[in-house]
Amino acid sequence: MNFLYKVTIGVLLIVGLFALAGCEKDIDGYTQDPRLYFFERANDVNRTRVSSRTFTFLTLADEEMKDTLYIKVKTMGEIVNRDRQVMGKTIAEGTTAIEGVDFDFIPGLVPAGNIEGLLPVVLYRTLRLKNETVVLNLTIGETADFKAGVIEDEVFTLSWADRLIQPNPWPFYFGAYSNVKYQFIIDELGIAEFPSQLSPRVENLPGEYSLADLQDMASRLRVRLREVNTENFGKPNYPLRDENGALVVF
Amino acid sequence: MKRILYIYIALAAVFIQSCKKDLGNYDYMDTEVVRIDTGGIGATYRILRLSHLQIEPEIQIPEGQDLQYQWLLYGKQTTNNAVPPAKEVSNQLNLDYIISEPVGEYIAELIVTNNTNGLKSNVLFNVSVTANMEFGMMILYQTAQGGDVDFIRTPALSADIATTTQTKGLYSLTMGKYLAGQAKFIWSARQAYQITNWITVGSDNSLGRFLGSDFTLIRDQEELFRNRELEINPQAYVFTIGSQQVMINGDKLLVATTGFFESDIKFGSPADGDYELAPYLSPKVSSGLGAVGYDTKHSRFIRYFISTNTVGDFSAPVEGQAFDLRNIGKDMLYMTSGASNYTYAFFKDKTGDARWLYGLNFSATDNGALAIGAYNMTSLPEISSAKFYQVSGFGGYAYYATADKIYNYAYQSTNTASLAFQIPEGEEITCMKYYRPTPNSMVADKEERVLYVATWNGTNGKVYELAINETSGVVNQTPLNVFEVDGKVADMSARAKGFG
Repeated sequence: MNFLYKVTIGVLLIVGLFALAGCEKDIDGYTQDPRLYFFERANDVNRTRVSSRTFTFLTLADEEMKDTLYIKVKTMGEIVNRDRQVMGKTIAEGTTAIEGVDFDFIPGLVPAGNIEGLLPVVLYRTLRLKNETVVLNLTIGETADFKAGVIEDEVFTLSWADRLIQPNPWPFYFGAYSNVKYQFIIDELGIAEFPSQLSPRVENLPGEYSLADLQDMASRLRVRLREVNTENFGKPNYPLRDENGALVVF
Repeated sequence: MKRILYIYIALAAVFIQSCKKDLGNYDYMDTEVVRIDTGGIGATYRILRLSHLQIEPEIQIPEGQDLQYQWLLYGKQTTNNAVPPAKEVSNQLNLDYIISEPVGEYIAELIVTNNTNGLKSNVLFNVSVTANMEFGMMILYQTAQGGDVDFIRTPALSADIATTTQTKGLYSLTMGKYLAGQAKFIWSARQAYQITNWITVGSDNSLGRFLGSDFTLIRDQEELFRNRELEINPQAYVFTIGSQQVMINGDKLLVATTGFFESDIKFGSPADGDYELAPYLSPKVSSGLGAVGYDTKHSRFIRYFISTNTVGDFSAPVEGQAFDLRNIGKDMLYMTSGASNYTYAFFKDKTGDARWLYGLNFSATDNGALAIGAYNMTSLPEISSAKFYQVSGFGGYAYYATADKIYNYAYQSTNTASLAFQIPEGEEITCMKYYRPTPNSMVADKEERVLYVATWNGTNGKVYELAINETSGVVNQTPLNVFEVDGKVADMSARAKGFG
């Protein structure tokens, strides 16, 4: 009798153990409102946060009076199976650009099923950009779909002009920056921006220039500068000097 | 007690439920089915890339049936990767297909369709494609359609090779077309424990980089030059002991410095400077010197400066040097590497018929003492007809070849030459190269024990594999092997194994 009880209890315990295994509690999910943060990252080992970008209208045709820049954003919360709207919002502090005059926010999208999207800012080619660089500090605007998310990633700075402004990054191989040198590079290479590999140990992404690419550009520019100076021998612009009177060298 | 009984009855009821019999209602009908007999056929076909995959299954065909065959080849799904697309490789019962797919695991599937009743039968075969590009001689040749590459492996090249094989048409099978233009060079670049492990093939208007392990394409010239506006005219290429990929393109020096990613090891713009290079390079150049060429415009050697991508003169010679690298004043005939990690250059005087062999130490730094020796070759037999040259890495001798003779030139001892080998009548030598794998790890005892001599008789090419004494240069008069090649050989180069 006693033995039969023990066996029965044992059988019940085993059956109960299996039955209870199905009762494991789910881990709590994300229960906050869906939120959004800027997600521009450098292609280096640490994926360093990028929080600013420069732009010049100078490389666009004269008749192009506006351009749209897109800033990458990332969501917090569940993936949703519908397109969601994102929108920028001005931070007054430090901003010199005027909304409706120098720029406008237009709605952007996080596509259905995605956790990343693009926040667009329309920049206008106003007259004053010929003489000055305007700055826009922006953050995530609240929409029906999102609120601002990560504090460290809630501010992004755009600066733009219709004149030469030193691109960021400016390749080390090109030496000291000057407007004359930059214009020479744009004229010779047809390139104004130099998104570049930050570490030789991280493979450059499509559209990025490797360190060796940039070194090769400097080599080509050195040869072209010599040729241009030779062509201009005896003319007022010989040899090429920058706006500060220093010789342009690569 | 009753309580226990109820518990057991309840448990038994649950378990017995699963034993319920399936009371299906089916009709069975016999149909003529094709049976594929795979008896005697191995489970897995292990095959070298670019060789024939042959499978001959037996099938039992019901009488009066019309059958249709289809062989499919597709990559084996090993993880949760996407299923690769299948490729139809034959519509015959017996499969005979040259595997040009990359190294990997594949499935060959035979589908037999019975057109009479519409039924299909299939059988799967595992195919493991490997490549054995370790230790061999790569033969680059020109056919009427374009350039192509054969790969030769013989017991003379490694103790691991038991039988002699010749894999034909590596280039055309891999690319589906011949090498465009006039074939110029083939070279294996291998660096231990680094990413450098590829074969570079060039013609006068194209360039390609192929994986060293199986000769699949890595990238062609569209992706090998940083400046895509550059006119592509490759003339010579080496991978130096200083780990630089060095090429002469359009008489100019191009250098691809080493890096962490193969995708970024590309040729930059031509090195800046006033020069025109002879189409010869030496691999025995230190990283400090970068690269070395011979400037035909100023009859001088020039070196490369990595930081500025320029070429320039060597330092002035110190007292007692045999010659001044900055002013050679002769026309270069050939340049190669040889004994003591030196570079050896063959020259002809600008006027007259005098011939010279100069030894140079480019594996050192530029200290003004790089001129090792100058040897007057003028009085050697048939030297004015010499077309091809090799310099020993083991002894003080060199070979030079005319159209049909190979001479052994003892430059360090007697400064005389003797006939070493005579090519059969009707054939003309088109290329001569040592078996000199770099690195020579695991085959140091085979290095330079074989000399390859390619010939052309106007319609057919041959490659002679000649056994030689590595220190004296004496050639065994009976070739170890003679290979037929489907074109005129332009270049030959050893393929090493290496580590990592």
